[in-house]
Amino acid sequence: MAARNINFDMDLHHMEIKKAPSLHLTVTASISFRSKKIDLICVTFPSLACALGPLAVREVVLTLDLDCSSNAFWISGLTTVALRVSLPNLLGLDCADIAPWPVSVVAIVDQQTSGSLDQGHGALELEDLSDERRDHVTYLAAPSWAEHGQQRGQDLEVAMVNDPLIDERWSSATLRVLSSMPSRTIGRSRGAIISQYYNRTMQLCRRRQTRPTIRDFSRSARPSIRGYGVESDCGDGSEEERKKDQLVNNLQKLSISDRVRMLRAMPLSVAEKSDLRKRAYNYKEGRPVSSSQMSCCSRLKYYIIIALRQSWYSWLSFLHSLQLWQVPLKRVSGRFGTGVLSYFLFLKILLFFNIFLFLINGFFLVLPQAIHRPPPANLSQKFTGLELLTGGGSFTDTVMFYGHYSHRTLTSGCRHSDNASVPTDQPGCPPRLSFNMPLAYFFTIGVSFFITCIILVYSMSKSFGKSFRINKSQGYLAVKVFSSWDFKVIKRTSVRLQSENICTQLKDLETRVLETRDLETRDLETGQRLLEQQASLLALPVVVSSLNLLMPGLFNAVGWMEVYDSPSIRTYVAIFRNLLLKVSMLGVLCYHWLGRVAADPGKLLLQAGKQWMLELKTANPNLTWLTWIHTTMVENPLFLFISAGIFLMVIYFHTQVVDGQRKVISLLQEQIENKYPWRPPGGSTASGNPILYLSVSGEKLEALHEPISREGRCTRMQGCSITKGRSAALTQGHHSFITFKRRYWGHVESFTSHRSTMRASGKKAFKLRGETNGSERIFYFNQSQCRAGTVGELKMEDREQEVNFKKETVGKLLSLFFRDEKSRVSSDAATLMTEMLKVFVQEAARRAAKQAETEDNHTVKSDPNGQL
Amino acid sequence: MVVYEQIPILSSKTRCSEQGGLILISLLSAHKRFMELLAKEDRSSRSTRVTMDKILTMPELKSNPFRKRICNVFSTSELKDGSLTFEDFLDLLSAFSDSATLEIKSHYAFRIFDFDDDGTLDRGDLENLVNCLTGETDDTRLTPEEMRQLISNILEESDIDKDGTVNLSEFQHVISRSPDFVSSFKIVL
Repeated sequence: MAARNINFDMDLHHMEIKKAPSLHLTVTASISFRSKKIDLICVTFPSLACALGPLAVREVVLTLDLDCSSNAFWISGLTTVALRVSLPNLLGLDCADIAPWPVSVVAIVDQQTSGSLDQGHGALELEDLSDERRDHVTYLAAPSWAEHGQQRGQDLEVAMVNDPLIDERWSSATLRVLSSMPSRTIGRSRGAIISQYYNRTMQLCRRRQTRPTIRDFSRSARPSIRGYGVESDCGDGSEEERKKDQLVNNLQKLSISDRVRMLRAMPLSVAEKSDLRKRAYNYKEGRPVSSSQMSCCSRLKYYIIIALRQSWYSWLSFLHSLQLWQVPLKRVSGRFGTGVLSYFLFLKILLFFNIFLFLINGFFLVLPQAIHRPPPANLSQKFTGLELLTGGGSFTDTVMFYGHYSHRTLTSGCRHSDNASVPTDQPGCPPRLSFNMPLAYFFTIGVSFFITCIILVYSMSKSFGKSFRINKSQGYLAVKVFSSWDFKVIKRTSVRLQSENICTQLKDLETRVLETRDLETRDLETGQRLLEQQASLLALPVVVSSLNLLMPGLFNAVGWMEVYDSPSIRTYVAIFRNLLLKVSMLGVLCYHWLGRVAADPGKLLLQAGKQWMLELKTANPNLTWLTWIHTTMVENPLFLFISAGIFLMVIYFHTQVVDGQRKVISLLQEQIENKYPWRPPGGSTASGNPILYLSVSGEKLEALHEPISREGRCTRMQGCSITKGRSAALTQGHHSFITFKRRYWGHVESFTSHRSTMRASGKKAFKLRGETNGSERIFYFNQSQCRAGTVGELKMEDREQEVNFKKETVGKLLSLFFRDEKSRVSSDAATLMTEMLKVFVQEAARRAAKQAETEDNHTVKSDPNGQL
Repeated sequence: MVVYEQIPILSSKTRCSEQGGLILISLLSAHKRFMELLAKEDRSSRSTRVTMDKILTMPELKSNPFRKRICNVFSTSELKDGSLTFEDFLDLLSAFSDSATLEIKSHYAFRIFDFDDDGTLDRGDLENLVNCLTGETDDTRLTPEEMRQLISNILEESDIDKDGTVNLSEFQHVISRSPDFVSSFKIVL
């Protein structure tokens, strides 16, 4: 195959070192390929440390400006490599020392090499490191590139600059390289999508297998990047065709439902999909016979369904429009945000409660009373006009006043008698349906309040459950911006409202992020006056109402003069002031009315109740249980005492439980933080290192089992697979953002190494538990199977561990890069490499920490719909 | 009747039932809508394109601030003029339909928000996006300072690899945290 014949040569063009003020090293090299079809190159500096070995190097800090912390990176469609390396403490280094550095270049033959990076198809897979890979991948270890004479205009440039360890400003060249990383190109090209789904289908196929190893598959079915490279000499068009063929091939392996689901999930155009599907059918069982025409009947059916559906939609929208104050509420939320909206929603709910009370009261109290009117007491009251305002006078004798209600039993059986309100035990009239007004009064009010209470508690618990979050994120700006636009909104006014709403919310969120000032409150003063006689009754309401009316205006005027950062704060302050006004007014009113009540003899109420109970007992023997309850519960102070005690105890315990839960939560959080501490970028508070990940190029799998530590705290790397030319994962906390087989961007819940197994059998194995899409999968890797992208985890452990990667391991690793067996790694080189690894790890830690900061939750979901 | 012959992908029922997110009923109504946009004489031809201006007269898209982007993303036209064939139109409706998965929706949302079509959401894209969201009027538009702050906050939150742009993976990651994205990324005919 053409791919196997690929050769490429590289040459060191240029290298320069500037020493002052810090060390700058620029290496320019050129690579040339015989085939043009290479668009994926991996450049590694595996033996950098080795070359530096003879030098007395104490510490090397090396930072690579790459997406993943590794000494390998990927270039797509471009052969200019930019690498920034920071070597602050390289003492006494000069050109001659650096020149013999081996640089190994791995080119993967595949991918459409379509011109510039910006259009490059980034469908490269970071997975499948099966042995057969070298069929199509040419590794070039060029320890002495000067020997190669061929140069063909493609430069490899290695620029080494002394940079601070964390430098987030990338050079433009690096940015270009970064922009060609697979994660960034996947959204752009159709070819990328196809190959992505090709891999997905592979995963589906794999999932059915009992043993999830790649060896179970025929070579053609393996999801490897080089699979595409087979016919790499063909043109671009056929390249994509071939990709498609493979996808179709995979689709055929799936069951029909899986196939349909897979096709549906592809973000491709209809034409593409139907082509794919047609081919998938054609290949396998042959195209199902297509019925050319639909019958007239079915057509009619579809039209009827359409009509029904449309009428259903219009009915729904009609129902929706029936909701009370829908438009004004939307306007409010548009102008002032959801915070203010909730106030109005609260008012609306209050109104609904009042309507509910009104209905119940009206039905059970007012209606019976209105039907059985008691004889009017005195009609001789003069109508003065003031009654309209005070509600006194003749109005006291209407159903609008409680005083009007009789405390008698109304019977429906005696409709013929005029005096329906006289006691029911009238002779000759069987009391079939009696209605005891006082009881009705008692129960109606009680039941209605009880129902209200239950509704309130229910809705509160529901909203609490919805809004409860342990970790409060500082903002959801990104979520807001990316997903807040409702594409269903089509009316022009609604669109404007939505814009307004989003604008308000954005400003609001931003000011919240930016730490707003505390609001100042001002004291309110209210005054009161008294007038005489009937007008005095009016005075208080007048004052209260006018205050209610005028003060908000005053507050608004005050609010205009003050300067607030965001519009929502202004409204909050206004609401707060108004609430304060209402509360103080209520206080004054309560004081006033309670003062009047206190003037009356106090015990009257209890005595009246007792007397009424006695009357009830004699009047209606059926209700003796009520009197019993009254005597035992109300009159006996012991019961009241005990019940009050129990009530208090329940409240106390409840608060204790809630408090305890809160404490437990905070303890857990603390524990989590202690277990997986991470350092905020630039901050200094968090101690220790995060879990992190390491990936090193190597020819074979190696597991690192080395502790490293920083600043006195020990971290322990539990397992790290090292695979050739692969760089993959980023791990944070007990979750990781990981790329391994089949470009699976998932997160890893836990990552435990089977150390016992390793020790027992001498094998290097570890377990990886990942979770995607709710389903948990466990991956076991051992030495032979572990072709995954490298994943590692560092776990905090005690101080007793020492702080180094094992030198032997590193040495072994390095020696993997040597072609000839005789090359040896000097101990200094191993030390250097060890230090470099440490730096890599630190860099990865920083990024992981950064990611942790942005994630801000426990389960990091990066690919919610992704199929494993 | 004529309708079924005109709908290119509608040669059999089974095929239609498999089309992403669109079932036959929706297909028919979509076709009806599409034909309304076409001039009379063009209706016979299958691959006729409807110009972007025509598409934008649809009430569903008329007031949408992303209308032009939507047309451009779904258009397969060589001229990049945002004109849609019927199949493109179906793609559009399919992506915005109920049954499209979060992945499809987020994919297209990303492309819609990627104003310069470079595969990532950089600062310019984000600024355009925020401007579209807040509307064009002066009182809702953010000041440059606010905009700068907002964009850096967004990047702070969502840009995991710190390259100054938001790529598709990061975008989908953000989207996955929003429960109501799927329900809001919808267009109902």
